[in-house]
Amino acid sequence: MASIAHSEVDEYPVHVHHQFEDIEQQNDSYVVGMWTFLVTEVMFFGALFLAYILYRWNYQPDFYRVHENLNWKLGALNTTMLLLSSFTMVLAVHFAQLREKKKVLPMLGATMLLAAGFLFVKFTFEWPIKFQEHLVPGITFGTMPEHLHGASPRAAEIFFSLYFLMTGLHAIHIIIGIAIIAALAGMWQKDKVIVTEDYIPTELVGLYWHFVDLVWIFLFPLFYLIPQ
Amino acid sequence: MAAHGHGNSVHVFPISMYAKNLVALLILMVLTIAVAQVNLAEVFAHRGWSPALGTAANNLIAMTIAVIKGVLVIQFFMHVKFGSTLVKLWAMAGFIWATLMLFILMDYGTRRFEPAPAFDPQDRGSALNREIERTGENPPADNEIRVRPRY
Repeated sequence: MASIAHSEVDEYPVHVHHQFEDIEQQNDSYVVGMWTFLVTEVMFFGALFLAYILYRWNYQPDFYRVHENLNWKLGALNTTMLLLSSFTMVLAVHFAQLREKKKVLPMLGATMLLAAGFLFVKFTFEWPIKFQEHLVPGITFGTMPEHLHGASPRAAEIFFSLYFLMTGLHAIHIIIGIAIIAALAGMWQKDKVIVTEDYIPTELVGLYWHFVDLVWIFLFPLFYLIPQ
Repeated sequence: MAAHGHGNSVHVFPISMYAKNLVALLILMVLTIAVAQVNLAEVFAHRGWSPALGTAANNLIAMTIAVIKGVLVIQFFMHVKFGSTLVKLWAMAGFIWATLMLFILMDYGTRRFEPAPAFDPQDRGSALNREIERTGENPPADNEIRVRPRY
């Protein structure tokens, strides 16, 4: 019985489930499964990118004018933090492959810290100011026209609808990502065999995190760096 | 099969590869910001070319850099470059779908009129591309069905 033979921990440090030929096939199946989820995420965000392209195309001059309200320096800071967090996450996967728990945990911690920094910048220096300037789509939108930078209020409202939808959905993904990484770090802390003996759970969390980074790579130029 | 000791079929890559990838991503980020500070529409107009082409060039450069950054993240951070053919196929599937979806824009792009009413009756061109050279009267004459011509 293959399953009994595989339960010998010393002989098989990574548990190969009975439906898989070998560890390569098992790992491949897990990664393909994660990518299947990521494909649904691409479709999820893809529709929003299509909406963005359509309205940017129709209202390019207004989008250019109103985008001056966004601070690209804060966007660049956030991009840097997310790229760094991707790097620390991939290092966590690297050390998980080497089973160096003492190095995995700080890397996961750094990833969560950088993600929290990203949210801090967004929720402290960016979004609250939009509320004060009446730039959140709604009844009072555009009642302080000086913040529209000369754009048509209706087109500006579309811009900020897309802005809050897309960066908001992305922020939700960041929050979920922090929760998942925290759960993973907790499992490492408790020496759960499922993560310490097999790097795949860490790798899959990493895939999710890099995808969140990937979305931001496109959001940053589309919202903060609109050409005239 | 299953276990060859510690590594057990795991592909471990050197940290330097990830570090190089990070540096490349940061350089590309600085590059995209730098290019965005240059108003190519103005540069093009200065040389007697169409400013709209300059805007398109700005967009094209920004998106090309974003795609390069995305490919770097997918290939190295997400290990797709070293994955099996099946993983590569799945990784591409979503983006191929997204590309096909963008063909919807052919419909919008070939419409003579936009189905939306003008935003501001006092300024019929308020939400239109101000740079476009209109062939008819400008601003376009109001019409009963309240559609505004794209050009």
